[in-house]
Amino acid sequence: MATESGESRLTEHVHFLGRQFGAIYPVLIVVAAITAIFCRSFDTGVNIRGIFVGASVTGIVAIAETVVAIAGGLADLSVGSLFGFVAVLMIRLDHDGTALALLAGLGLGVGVGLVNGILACYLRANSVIVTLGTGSILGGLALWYSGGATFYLPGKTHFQWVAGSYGVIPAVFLAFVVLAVIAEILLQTTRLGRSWYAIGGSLRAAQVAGINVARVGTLSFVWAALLVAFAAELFSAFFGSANYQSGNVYLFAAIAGVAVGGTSLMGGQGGTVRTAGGVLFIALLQDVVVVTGISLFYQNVVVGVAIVAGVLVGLRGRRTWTTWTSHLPLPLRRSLRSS
Amino acid sequence: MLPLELRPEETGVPSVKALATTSRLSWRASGRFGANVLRQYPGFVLIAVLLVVGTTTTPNLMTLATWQGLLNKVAIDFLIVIGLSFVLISGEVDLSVGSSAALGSVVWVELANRAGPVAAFATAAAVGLVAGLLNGVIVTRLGINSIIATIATMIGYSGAVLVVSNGNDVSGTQLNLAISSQSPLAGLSFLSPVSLFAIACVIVGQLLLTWVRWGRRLYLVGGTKDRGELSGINGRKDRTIAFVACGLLAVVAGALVGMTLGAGIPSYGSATPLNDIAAAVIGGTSLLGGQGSVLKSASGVLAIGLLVSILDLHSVSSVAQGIAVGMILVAVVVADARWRQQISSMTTRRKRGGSSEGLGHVPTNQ
Repeated sequence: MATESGESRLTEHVHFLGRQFGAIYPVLIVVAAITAIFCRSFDTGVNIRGIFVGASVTGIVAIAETVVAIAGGLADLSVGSLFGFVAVLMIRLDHDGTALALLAGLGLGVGVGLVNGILACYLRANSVIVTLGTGSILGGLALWYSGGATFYLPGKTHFQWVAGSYGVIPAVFLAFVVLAVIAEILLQTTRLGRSWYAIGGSLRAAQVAGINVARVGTLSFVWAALLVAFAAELFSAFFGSANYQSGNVYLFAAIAGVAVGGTSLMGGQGGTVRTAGGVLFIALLQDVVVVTGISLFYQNVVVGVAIVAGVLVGLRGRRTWTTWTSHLPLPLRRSLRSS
Repeated sequence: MLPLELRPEETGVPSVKALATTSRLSWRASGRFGANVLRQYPGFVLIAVLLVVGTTTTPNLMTLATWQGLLNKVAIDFLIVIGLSFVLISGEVDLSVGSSAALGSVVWVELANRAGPVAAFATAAAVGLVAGLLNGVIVTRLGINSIIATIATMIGYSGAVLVVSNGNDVSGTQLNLAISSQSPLAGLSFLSPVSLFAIACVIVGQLLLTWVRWGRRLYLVGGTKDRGELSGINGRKDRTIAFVACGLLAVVAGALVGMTLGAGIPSYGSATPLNDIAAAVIGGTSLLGGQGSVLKSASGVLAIGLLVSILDLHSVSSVAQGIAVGMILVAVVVADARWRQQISSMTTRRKRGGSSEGLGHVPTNQ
C-alpha cells in the first residue's frame, strides 16, 4: 500500500477514501452542483433541509439492512412490519412514560432480531424467506395491537426538539449521520464488525478461523432490528403520528439505498457510510424531479432508472475509481497508484 | 459416498443431479414415505390437511359458491405465480410483478374504451413483454442482482402507472368474466372464465417446464453454480426468457383484474410479489433456484387461498391470516433447512452444521 515518496500521502488518503466509501459521493456532488447551477430553488435552506429529512429515516433503516447484507443475510424483509409495530407501540405507551415507551420499542426490536437471527443462523433457514414470514406474523400482530387505527402524539410534546434543526441540518439527519459513522466504526474496527465481513465473505472460512458464525450472524439481525426500532421511534417523534403500515415504504427504499451506495447484497463487502451516500443520492434525485419541474408522475420512473444507474456505478465503484484516475496525467497517476 | 463433483460444498449449491440423487438417498435413509411427500409437496399436503380440518369444522366450505369465489380470488395469483416460478427456478427473483400487474390493469382500462378490447389487450401484452424484457436485460446483461434490479423496476413501473393514468383513479367497462355462467365451455360452466383461463395457464406453464427444452434448462441454470454454462447452456438467454414470461403473465393478470373490476388497480404495489413468493415457497418452489414447479407454486397459492377462505367462514379477522401465513412460511423454510442439512451430512459424511448455505445465500450472478 505504501508508496516510496512521502509527498503522495495525501493522494493516497484520497484514493483510500474513494475505495472505502464508494464512487457514489462524487456522483452525488456532481448532480447536486449541476442542479444548483441550473435551478435557483434548489440551493435554498428549505429545500436542502427537505432532502436531509427525506433521507434520514430511510437512511437508518438502510444502515440496518447494510449490516445484514454484509453479514451474508442478504436482506431482512421483516423491517417494514417491525417499523410499523414499534412506531405504534411507542405512541401508545407514551402516556405511561416516555422512557418506558422508548425502551419497550427497542426491546421489541431486540426480540424480533433474536427470533430472526435464531431462525436464520441457528436453524439455518433461508434468511430472506424467514424474515418474510416473521414480517407477515409481525404485521398481523401490529394490526391486532393497533386495530388498524392511526395514533397521534399530543400536539405539544417533549419530542419537539426532534423535529427541530441546527441551521440547515435537521436533528433527525444528525442522528442518521452519527449512526452511519458509528456503524462504520463498529464494522471496521471491532472484532464483531470484522466477523460480520468474515461470515458474509465466506462462511466456511470464518468457521475454520474459529468464529462462532451462528452467534455473529444472529447479532447482525439483532443489531439491524434494534436500528429499525430506533428509526421507528424517530419517525413517531418526528411526525407525531403512525399506523401499523407506516414502515412499509421504507423496506424497499432502504434496500435500494444499500445497493446504490455500493454494498454488495452477496455479503462480505460494503459499509454504512457508502449506504448513506446511496440513500442521499435517491433523496437528491427525488428532489431534483421536483425542483426542475418535471411532472411528479415521472418521479418514480426517474428513481427506478437512477437505482439501476447508481448500482452500476456503485457496484463497479472500484473499477470506476481506477478508470477515473487513469485519465489523469502520468506523474499524478503514478503518485496515486498505491499498490 | 458420492463422487467428488456431486458434493454440495464443492459447487455451493447442490446440482440438479446431486439433488436427484440425494433425494433418493434421503428417501432410502429415512424410509418414510410421508415425510418425503411433505418435503417434496408441502403445498399439496397443506391443502389436504386444510380440506380435512375445514370440512369437519366448517359446514359451508364444500359448497359450490365458496369454491367459485376461492378460484376467482386465486386466479390472478395463479397467473403471477406461474411466471414467478420460472424466474425462481432459474435462480432469480422478480419483485416487480405487483407493479407490472398494476400497469397492465391501468393500460387495459385506459385503452379499452378508446381503442376497443382487442387492441387494448394486445397493447397490455406488449407492455408486459417490454417490462419483462427490461427486467431480464438489466439482470442478465448489466449483471445487477435480481433483487435490486427488480426493486428498481418495481419503483419505475409504479411510476409508469401514474404516468399512464395521470394519477387519477381509472375506470372503464366491466366484463362479466368472474361469473361462472359466462363460461365459454359448456361442460365446465361451474368455472368462471377467469378461473378457467388461470387453470389452463397453470397447466400450460407446467408443460413448458416439463416438456420443453427451455423449461428443462431452467432447472440446470438455477440449480448449478456455473448456471449451466459448463453444460453449454446459454443461461442468460434462458433467464431472460423467464423474466419476459413473468412480466407478460403479470401484466395479463393485471389486465384481467381491470376487466373484472372495470377499474385500474394503481395501488397493487409491493405486497403482491412478497405474498406470491411466499406462496411459491410454501408450495415447494425454492428461492435458491433449481427446485420447484408451476404446479407446486400453484398449490401454495391454493393452500393460502383455502386457509383464508376457512378463516373467513369462521369470521376470523385478517389479523389471524397474516399470522397464520407467516407461521406456515417459517415452518416450511425451517423444515427445508433441516432437510438440506440432512442431505449435506449424508453426502459429505461431515457432522451436522457443516453446510455452506447456513445464512441463506441466494445464488445470483454478479
